[in-house]
Amino acid sequence: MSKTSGRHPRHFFYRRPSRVVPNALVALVLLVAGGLVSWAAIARLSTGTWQEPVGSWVTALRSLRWQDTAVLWAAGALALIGVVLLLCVLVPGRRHNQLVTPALADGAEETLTLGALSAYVESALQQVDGVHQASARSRAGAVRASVRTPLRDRDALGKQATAAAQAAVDRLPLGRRTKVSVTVDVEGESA
Amino acid sequence: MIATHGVRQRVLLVVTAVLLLVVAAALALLSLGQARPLWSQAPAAGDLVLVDSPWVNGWSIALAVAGGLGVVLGLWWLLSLLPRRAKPVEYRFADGSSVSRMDSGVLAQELERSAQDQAGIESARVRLTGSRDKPGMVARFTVRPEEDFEAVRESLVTEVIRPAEAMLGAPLTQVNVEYVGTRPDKVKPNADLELSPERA
Repeated sequence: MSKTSGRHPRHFFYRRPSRVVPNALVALVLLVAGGLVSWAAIARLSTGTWQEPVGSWVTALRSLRWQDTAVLWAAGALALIGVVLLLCVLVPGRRHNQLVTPALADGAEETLTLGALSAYVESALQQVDGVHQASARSRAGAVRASVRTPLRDRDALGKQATAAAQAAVDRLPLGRRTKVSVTVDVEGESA
Repeated sequence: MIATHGVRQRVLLVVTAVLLLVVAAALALLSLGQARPLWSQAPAAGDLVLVDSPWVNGWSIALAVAGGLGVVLGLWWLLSLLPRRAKPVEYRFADGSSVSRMDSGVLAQELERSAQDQAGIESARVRLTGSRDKPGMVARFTVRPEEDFEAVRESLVTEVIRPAEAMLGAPLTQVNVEYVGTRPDKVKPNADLELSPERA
């Protein structure tokens, strides 16, 4: 989501995920490293010597030469982290919702979360006679559901459950065709 | 409703990545003998990296300042990741000689209450945006999957959208809505009782 004071973009909810995790990791590393460097430098100014563990690191660095393999390894590690961060920016990530045909107002942005889509499917499956337990997971364009039943007629229940779940999805005004698949587990049978 | 800063987060990541790549390239060039360190007068291969470098010879103040800046930047960065509640806008109603102002949060709360009174709505968060003559609405409704989705939306139009437009005296120029679902219990509480006799 973006900052919205006074006005907001057309798509407020239908967005790619923001990069909170890599940002938080980098910020945390910067915070810890900055604190450590600052503390070590101030300690050196006041005592004249590097405090441990920084002292041993400085000693190790002093023994390094430019052509040492460790320098190349460090360069490689930094480059790898840089590439990973760039990928974090460039790879768009999955949306957590789907657009639905707007009904509230002209040009409205209306989205249904994938969790809500799963909830509609689970609710429909629980109405099916013989279903004891239902769960569903959704992604854009597809819902995978599973039901548990004490019944032995797995195929018949599977067809009935799939039809019920697909009907529930089709009743929703989703912007794209969404396919449902249902697996049936019979209680007491090993998978 | 909350606001975060997706663009800023991407820009910060790109800047960090580019800096890391530049440092990595510099280290690699120095290590391979293709470049010389700026501070060394005797840069031939085999020279010590740090023994004559500023890192250990009197630049502790600069290091302390740089570390402090790192702490400040890291803290600011972490705090900027926290989602923040956006401030409600103020709507200005002018009527000839008199002018009145209304905090949009008051109207938004009223709309939330109205939405939550609807059969298919579990909870509602509404924020009004824009100006009084060009208002907008950002809302998140938690819907009950047992209720018909279209019926829920019809009730939202009649009980939330239209009253909002009537109170503001202007149509909503932009509406952004997210529907979140409540998950039904995974196990039917009376599953055994619901089995029809021929299937049980």
